Amino acid sequence: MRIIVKTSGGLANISRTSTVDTTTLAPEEAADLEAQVAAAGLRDLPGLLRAPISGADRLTYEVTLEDQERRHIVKADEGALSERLLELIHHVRTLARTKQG
Amino acid sequence: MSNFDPNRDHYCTCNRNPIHCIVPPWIEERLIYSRRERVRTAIRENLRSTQSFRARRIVTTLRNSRFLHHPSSGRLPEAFGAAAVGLERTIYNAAQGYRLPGSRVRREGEGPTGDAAVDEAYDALGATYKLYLDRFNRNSLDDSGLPLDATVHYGQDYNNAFWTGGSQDLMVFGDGDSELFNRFTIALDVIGHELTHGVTEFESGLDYSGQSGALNEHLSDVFGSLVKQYQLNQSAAEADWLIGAGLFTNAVQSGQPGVPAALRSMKAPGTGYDDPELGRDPQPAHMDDYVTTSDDNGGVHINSGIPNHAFYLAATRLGGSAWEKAGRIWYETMTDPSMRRLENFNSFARKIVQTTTAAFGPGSQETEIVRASWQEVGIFVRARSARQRCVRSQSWRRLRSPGL
Repeated sequence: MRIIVKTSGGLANISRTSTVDTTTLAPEEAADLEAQVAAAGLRDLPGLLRAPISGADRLTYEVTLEDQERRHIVKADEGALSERLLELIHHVRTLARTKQG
Repeated sequence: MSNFDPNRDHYCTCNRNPIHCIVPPWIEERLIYSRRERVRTAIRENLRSTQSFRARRIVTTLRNSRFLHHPSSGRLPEAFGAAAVGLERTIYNAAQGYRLPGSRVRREGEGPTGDAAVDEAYDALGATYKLYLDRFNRNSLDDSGLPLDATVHYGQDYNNAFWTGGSQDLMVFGDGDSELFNRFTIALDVIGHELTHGVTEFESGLDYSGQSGALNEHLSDVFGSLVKQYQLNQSAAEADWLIGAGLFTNAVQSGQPGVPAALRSMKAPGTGYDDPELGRDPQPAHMDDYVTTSDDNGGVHINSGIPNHAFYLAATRLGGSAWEKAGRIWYETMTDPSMRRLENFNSFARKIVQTTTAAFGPGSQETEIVRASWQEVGIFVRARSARQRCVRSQSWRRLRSPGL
């Protein structure tokens, strides 16, 4: 499984992309990530998650999930994401940074 | 008082709205509770422009009534008849989570907590409130004493600050990832920026996309920068005109030698940062370089560089402190009833020049400086109609004599 998280917008308007491939992770790390993806219901989400237009400087996310032959892309306004998804996004970013470092 | 202005070719029968001098006082008092927002706003402006004891009493009531500025909430006035609300800050801590607002950690009048983000947010809310009150006679974001709420420590390694809008009216600040970004409360202008989104929401409600969205961002940058300049007591010439200086860690490279890295530069748009990892600040300074994109809500943080630079040029050429002339021209324009949700760069620049003309005269040095500043960024403004001048002239006089 591969997850790509692209973050853009916000006050700084700087785009950042983080990629994690479970084949490069330790078995327990990979299992933990798989569990978080399942808990967040990422595979069942529609391709577009919009939040009501409100406020300013919000982030937007594009999360791509690749499973062997399947690819699922979710584009989402920050305000439309659940806490679990936000935590998953943070987890992916942390893993990607650790692997790079 | 006669409304005849010898410099104009007609009588002015209005003062910001047509209800003035027409509606009997007992009807005015009833209209305060109208279900129509425009009627409530018009009545409120009327009352503020008069000097009577009755008006003072009603305005005090209005200032205690969030209901009047939250028509969608359907709430009744919360403190009917109580003393006027002034600065009222509350800081919450999300403790690296994503639930808002989080737990309350500091209220108005309480001392420092020792948590830098909490205390910076508290102080910066105060500094922003002070600029708006001292210089523009505005009582908080809604001009009616709206309490100022902020949440710090939002999310994990969260690289952003935002304004929730809607019913929450909350400023939210992340701690940054410490690699590229420091905590977002570190920059006073960023907090002034977020709060100004609140002012815009209560005034014109500029639509957050395309050119109107870039103007929304522009106003937040302008008044965010003014909050910082006012706090530091800097003249326009002394100011750095950077947005978010100090927000990047030392790992991020600036786009200009000798100038700290920042999110944006109003003086030299496009030079805020130039970094191998983050890329280059994409802001243009001129319409020739206008960026057409569907990202970033149609480039709201990108093309704001164009009006930002016009403000910088006007403020430095008008001289003195930027909040004195340029800031007042922009404030008066952004709060003018003629402002619409879908203003574009041309229509906004025209309104700015109209405001300047009304305040200083058609051939004045100030008007020519402001017009030339827009021209220099590729926006050309023609003369305006006499009637609009009249409305603005009245409006400007009100600003010059603040208070009831």
